[in-house]
Amino acid sequence: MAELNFIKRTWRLLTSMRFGLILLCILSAALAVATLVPGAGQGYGKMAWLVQVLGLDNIYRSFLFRLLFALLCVNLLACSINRLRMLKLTTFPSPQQIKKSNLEQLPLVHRFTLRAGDKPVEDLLADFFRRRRFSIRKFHEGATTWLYASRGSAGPWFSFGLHISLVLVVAGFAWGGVARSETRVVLPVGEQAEVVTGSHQSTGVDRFTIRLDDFTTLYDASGAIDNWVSRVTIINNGREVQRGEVMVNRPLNYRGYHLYQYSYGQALKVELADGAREAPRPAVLFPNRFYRLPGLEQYGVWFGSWSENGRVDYALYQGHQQVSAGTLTTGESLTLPGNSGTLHLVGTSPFSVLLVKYDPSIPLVFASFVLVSLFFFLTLLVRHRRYWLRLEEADGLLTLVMGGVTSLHTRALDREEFEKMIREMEAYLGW
Amino acid sequence: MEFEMLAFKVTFGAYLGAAVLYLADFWTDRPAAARWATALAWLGLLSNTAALGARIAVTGRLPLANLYEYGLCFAWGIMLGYLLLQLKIRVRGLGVFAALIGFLVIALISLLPRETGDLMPALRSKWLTYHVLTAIVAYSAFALSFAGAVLYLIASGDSPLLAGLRRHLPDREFLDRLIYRAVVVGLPFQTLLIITGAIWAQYAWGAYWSWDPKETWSLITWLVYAAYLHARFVLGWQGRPAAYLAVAGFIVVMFTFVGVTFLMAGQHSYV
Repeated sequence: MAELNFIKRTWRLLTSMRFGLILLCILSAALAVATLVPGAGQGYGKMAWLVQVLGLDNIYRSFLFRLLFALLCVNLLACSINRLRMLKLTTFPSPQQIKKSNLEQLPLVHRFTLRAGDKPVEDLLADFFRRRRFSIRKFHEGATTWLYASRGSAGPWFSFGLHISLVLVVAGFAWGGVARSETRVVLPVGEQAEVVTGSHQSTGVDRFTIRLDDFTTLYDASGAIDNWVSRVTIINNGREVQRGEVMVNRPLNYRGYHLYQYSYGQALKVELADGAREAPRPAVLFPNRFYRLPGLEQYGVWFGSWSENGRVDYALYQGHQQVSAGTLTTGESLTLPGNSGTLHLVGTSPFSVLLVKYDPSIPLVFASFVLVSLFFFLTLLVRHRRYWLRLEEADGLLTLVMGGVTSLHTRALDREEFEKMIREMEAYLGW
Repeated sequence: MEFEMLAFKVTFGAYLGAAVLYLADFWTDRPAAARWATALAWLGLLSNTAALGARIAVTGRLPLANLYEYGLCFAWGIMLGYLLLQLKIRVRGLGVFAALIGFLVIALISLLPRETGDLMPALRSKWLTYHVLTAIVAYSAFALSFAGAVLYLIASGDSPLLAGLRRHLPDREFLDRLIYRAVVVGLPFQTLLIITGAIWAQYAWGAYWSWDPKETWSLITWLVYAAYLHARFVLGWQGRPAAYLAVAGFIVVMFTFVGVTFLMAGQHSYV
């Protein structure tokens, strides 16, 4: 019994909109704090232990943070499920709902008394509401007629759809976090590389090869850089299966794998000769990396980015100690200490860095985005309005009672509309 | 550039003048001051439009590339929203805050670099236009809700210092509804702002969400205004508590707009 009470209480808490409101406030505060906490790898000083325990070094992946989002989603779902019964009743009211027994207790009530005439008031009332795009349902009981006028009954359904769509966005985000995989491929022009991405599926396309056929920079009419274009060929099982261009803002899609233009630069073509060998060995070196020289491992070299004036900065190391630094241009050589060898700069070759990404959650997330946008506007544009009317005839007198409900957030507006409706009704019916 | 500079200076002066005259009307009940203030606000809007037009003519693109250009659009959106509302219904006191926010935004961006630099390739996307245009509508609506909220707090307060002002204010129910309606306009556009940014980021960088500080703070803005609406729906919050929440919401908006740009490094640091 106690267990049952606990379950009931928990369910009541989860389905409470107050709880949802509290969660919104906590989440806002948590996010604000999260932007102030330094990221992973930063010094936390004496608070390091607390940061580690709470997982705040990667706050957006911490348990507490995920729990907050999960609770908000559960609350959204539970509140939505809880609303379903009410939605069904307001959209498809039963005769019991049409026959509002507590009409006089509604927040908005107006009573008319008039002499019964030849005119069929019931039909006139129905016509009055239909002209204002209300749907009408009638219910007769003896000398009493009930009318139920409703407009915008889809409104609450849009709100329901909005909340479910928000859950779908978060669900898609969570799914992406688990199923997403990405890798970066550095490719000089003319070279190819095998991409191995773990899609967590054995679809047979987890391994494929990308060849960079060309890399160019596009300029606009004013001479400013417009975009960078990597022309690539996708090879699978030795066959060329797709050719295309990868540009900023225009990724290439290969069977769910998206290729993004991530970076670019000039790779350095060098020839390394040591004193003992006759034939120099060619190599391609990428900028901003440290290389140990093959065959001359006691030496290492670091090159910066190729500058627009055709030069590149270098630093030469012996062991861990820098022994010289300077700039090189095409055709120049760097002589190693004691004439133990030379590094000759032959030229440069453009390279492109492509980000290869697989994220099966994207269609779900984007579809949810569309639904959220659509339902948000529809929720605010379509307001559900309902009026109940009871028409009674006795002793040659007609009594009409009209009632309406108000929402907490639009009480004044509902009252204003109700009073306007009464005035228009009086004018229409000639009372 | 010289014409744009002239238009910018006129905008600066006109918004400042409008704010001062609206305040004079609000404080001393001089309708003539309000008329002049509205004329100045229209002049400011015209010159603001001219400054934007001049920039479009020079760059050949919409002026949405950096904080200076975005600030010009933001001030323009606030004043346009206010003046259109003013044509329909006159709310005394609202002009003080609309003109003051417009002026402060213009004053702030006057300190920023205004070079018409080239757009980096990632910014050459139609999604940038959608992203920033939705931001202008959302932030302008939130600015009006803030102005309404401050007026509500003045109207419902009991400070003897502001007793003179309270006499000129519209009734509280009207102000409360004004705040609510402004938020109802702003929040869907804030949603679109986040969504268009996410879609654009997916095309440009392959990640629709990367917890960039600007992204996170725009989500906080969304959550605060969602809390505002739910507080009304669920708890029936109206009046002062709702007004305080609307003020808090706009403080978050301004921090997202200015604070994050200057204090936190991220993908949106295009000053």
